[in-house]
Amino acid sequence: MPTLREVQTHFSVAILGQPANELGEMFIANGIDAGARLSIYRGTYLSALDTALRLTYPAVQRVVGEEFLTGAGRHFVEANPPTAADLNCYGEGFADFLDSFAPASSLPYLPDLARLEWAVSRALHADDSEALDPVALAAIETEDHPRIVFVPQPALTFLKVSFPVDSIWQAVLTEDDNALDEIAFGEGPFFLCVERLASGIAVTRQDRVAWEFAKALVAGTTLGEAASTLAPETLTALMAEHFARGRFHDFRIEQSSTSGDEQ
Amino acid sequence: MMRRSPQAPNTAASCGSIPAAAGIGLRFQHHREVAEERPAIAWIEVHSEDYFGGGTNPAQLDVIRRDLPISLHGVGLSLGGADDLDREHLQRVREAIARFEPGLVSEHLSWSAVNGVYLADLLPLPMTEEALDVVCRHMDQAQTTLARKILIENPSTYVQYTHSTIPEWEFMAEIAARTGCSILCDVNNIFVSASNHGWSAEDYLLGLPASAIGEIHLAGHSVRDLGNGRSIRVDDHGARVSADVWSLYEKALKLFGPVPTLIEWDSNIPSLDVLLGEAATAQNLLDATQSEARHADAA
Repeated sequence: MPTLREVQTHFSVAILGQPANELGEMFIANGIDAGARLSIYRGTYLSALDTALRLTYPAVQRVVGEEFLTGAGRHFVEANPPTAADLNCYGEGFADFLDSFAPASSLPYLPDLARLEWAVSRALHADDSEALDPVALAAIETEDHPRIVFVPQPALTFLKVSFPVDSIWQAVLTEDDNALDEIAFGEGPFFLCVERLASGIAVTRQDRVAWEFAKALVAGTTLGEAASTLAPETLTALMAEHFARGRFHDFRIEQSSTSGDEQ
Repeated sequence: MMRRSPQAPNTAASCGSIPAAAGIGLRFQHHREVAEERPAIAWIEVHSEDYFGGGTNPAQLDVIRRDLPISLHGVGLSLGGADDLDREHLQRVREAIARFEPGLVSEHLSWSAVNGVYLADLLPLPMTEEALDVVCRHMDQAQTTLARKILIENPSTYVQYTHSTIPEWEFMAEIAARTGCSILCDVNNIFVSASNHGWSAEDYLLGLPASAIGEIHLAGHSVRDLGNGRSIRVDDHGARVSADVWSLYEKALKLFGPVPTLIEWDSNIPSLDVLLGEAATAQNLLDATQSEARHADAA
């Protein structure tokens, strides 16, 4: 008698699209061959993941059409079966897949559009999280400010792309053909911030200085190091914007790496 | 080996905050309408996994559930998986329970993942002693972690394993007996599986312990033509409840008494009115059962 793991392993092989001849002997035939029975389960699997990709990549779908996305998705799914049951989190890496997917090469901006949509999807589904009240920083000695490390909100992504996919995304999803025609390509790179505000998902374009500072902060760089090349008034303005939009969840003070050794 | 519970009618009027009345499965398409128009419906059920994390959808559910009892129905725990339960998934369910305070929490007699790959479906188990042990162990773990009783739903299946040794209804009854969980009796699933495998749907109902039935599901299914005169019923939740299933539901109510009953619809989702109409049909049958029960008590 096969073990439960053997049964499930063979079954998964069939659902993932490979021959699983061992399974045929495990089913009561009852006039219907194993392949016909398994095709129902494989169909459900493919359909669920197709739906998951469509929900995460609606603008990509509008650009390439349903059929193309399903076809590209099928290749992606084959190489990237899901590892968790929360399909809202499925589809990471689809942009990188599109980078090397030859049939999509005539649309060079498509992978960047997918990168933006993944960030939007993450922003939509990220855990709710309180914004850091800047008052909490008032108790920090001024000399310790350079050692502040911020914990970013989970919904926040700073994204650098080669194409103006923020404009493309907006025009495609609002079906604004005029706006689409007027988009100026070839000025990249573009520096984007994707976040969840009380009013909804916001995608904003930033200048390089602001973006690189923010990117460094969310990567865990100390405030002192991230701000080392900024003029004081620029730093003040950028921090005011970060706090106004609630981009940080928490902070900590980085302990000096040498102080511990000296004690 | 099998222990049978007596076929006592379910006398409880409700389970938790869920009344013994008709509810609907709520999907995103109808969020706004339900939140704004407050249709006359006794309760709603949602898929737990759709409300993991934060953002708009869980926030809308926070609002909707202020006025409506809610049930959380999981589709991804893989209680019958040879793999260990996904602890992170279980923790997410726990967080959803803490946030939405559901009257009922349910999962499936199925498996969904093996060797770390999630197969996005409720897959059929061989009805063996090994599988029974695995399901019961996982059910114990889930009920302990979630600190509450949960319900397990009977599956719809398109295969039967040659090495199965336990009838599915006995398998369900034994899980309830061993773990103390309740049973979510999906009447459409019984009809689909019974048709596909040549079982008696009535015998299936008779084999379930009435006192353990905490909820009933109703849904539509389709018949897939496989050529050469062969066909198979597919549980696609994409149509109205069929006449055969309504008839089986009436038999279930006679056996189990009035039980919270849910209309599920997951593909080709219709307007809310259609769902409410299906729920009204179920409510009429529930009312008739309650009326009969009162007459029986009075006699």
